[in-house]
Amino acid sequence: MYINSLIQNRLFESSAKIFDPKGTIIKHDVLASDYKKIRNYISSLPDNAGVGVMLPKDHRYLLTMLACMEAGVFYVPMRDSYPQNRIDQIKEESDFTFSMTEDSYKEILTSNEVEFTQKNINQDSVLYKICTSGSTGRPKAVVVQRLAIENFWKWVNTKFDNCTHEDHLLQVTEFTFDISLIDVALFLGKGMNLYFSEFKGNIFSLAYEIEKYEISTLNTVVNNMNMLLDDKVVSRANYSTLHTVMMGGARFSYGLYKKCKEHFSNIGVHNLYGVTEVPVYSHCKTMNFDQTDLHEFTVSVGSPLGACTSVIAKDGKILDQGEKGEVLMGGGSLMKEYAKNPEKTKDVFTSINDERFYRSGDIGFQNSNGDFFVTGRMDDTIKYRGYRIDLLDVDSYILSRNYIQDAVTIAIEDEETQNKTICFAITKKELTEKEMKKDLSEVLLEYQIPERIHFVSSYPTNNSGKVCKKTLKKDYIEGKRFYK
Amino acid sequence: MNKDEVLVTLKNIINTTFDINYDVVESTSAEDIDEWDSISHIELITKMEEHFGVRFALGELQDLQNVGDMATLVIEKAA
Repeated sequence: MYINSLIQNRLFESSAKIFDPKGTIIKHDVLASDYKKIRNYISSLPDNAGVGVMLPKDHRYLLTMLACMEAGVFYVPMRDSYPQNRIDQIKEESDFTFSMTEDSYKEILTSNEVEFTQKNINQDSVLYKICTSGSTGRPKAVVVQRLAIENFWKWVNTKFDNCTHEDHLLQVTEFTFDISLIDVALFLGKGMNLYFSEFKGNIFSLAYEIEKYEISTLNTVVNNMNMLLDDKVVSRANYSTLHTVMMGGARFSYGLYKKCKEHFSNIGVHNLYGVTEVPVYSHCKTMNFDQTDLHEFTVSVGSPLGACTSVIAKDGKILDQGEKGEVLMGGGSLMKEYAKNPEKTKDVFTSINDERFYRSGDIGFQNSNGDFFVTGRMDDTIKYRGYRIDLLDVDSYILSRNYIQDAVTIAIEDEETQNKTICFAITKKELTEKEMKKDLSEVLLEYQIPERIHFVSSYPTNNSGKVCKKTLKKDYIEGKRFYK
Repeated sequence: MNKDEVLVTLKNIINTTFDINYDVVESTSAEDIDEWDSISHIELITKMEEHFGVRFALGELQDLQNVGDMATLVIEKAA
């Protein structure tokens, strides 16, 4: 009942300091009273009910999630801007029965309060079902039970013991992205001042919010951090109030590592790694900004956190330190299943020495200190003229060059060479493809140098800010944009 | 420069930056142009600063909703 005691303590016994998107504090008694009405209403829904949340990212969304958690009704996070067909698909996959919209939220608050009816809950009860895009484009619902989040939240509140109720936390991430649950854990556990970011793509507005609200703790995706530390942004920003920065959701590149070392070497910088199926993260590396953070140009993802375990395996066997294989995650934070998809659930789990592991599909190794390094995706390992190439590995070397801001290499099937390797590079200075290839020959073997290099100004990204390689590949094949 | 002149220049900067040929008007925003994303927005602001010889502060850049807002800001800064 760890989750429920955190919620009750924060909303009824201690103080909860939440600010609206304009930065005005919401009175605690209003929060507590609204929360109670929403919680009680949700508790009155039938057993096996679920709540699809379609609210703007503000305190109402947070209160609804917490109300579901306390009442024992699962929730399905969605955006208020989702098109109807996407909502219908998610509903079909997750079986939520009640939609929490701005209208229904308002209606509950203006209706008579109902009695609270606690559902039967235990650690196996479903806490939420979160939909990922799925390789077919159709959403796939990851079912997460209470135990996984209990374990993760306990870790968050122990790990970040430097954070206190005086700290200011900026909720940047949408609630549809599970990394937002770090902010929720810190708000509940530490009583931090919680601000909601209005950032919608203009990075200057995010940098401004950090300064304006004197943010001390920031949890965001790697892509945003890359932009916050872009020379043109950082030169006019003031990040002096920050003392803890957490980032994940994508590869922490060597280029970003160098930027963090330059600007954040005196604060806590944490590289978090994981997958939705092992909520929320499974590994954490707190940067020392020395050689222990790196293996050549790959930044460590650290060691398993909280109740997670992790091994490197190949062909059903656990490998020794230093050997490359697939990263597997186990322990007490695994998802329950994919909703309505036992075959897919079976595919992603494996058992070694009677322990159940989730197969991440990532390739990596563990060094002699026990730190893990992710070097690529199994999908990203290709054959090129008979050689095996790991595309993420290639990118990590390209990113080590000073003139590179970002680089993404993809493979296009090709009859002659099996695959044609194409690098899309964002550079800090003008240079030709020939010059760049010549420079790359200093760090890459001849067959590892991308066959073609295109200089671009941006990449297509998905909702969580990750580069969408599938779209990049499709656009390239169809001859759309990405050319200067 | 008046607002119309600034808008014509902004139109050129936007089309050059994103390598497109879009009929940019005052209400045009990042939502209208696929190529106008978070990263390329930084590049666009830098090009505007270079062209107009101004330097924008963070607070001035945080609430730009569309090209019309950008033109107004350029005029204020250049005054």
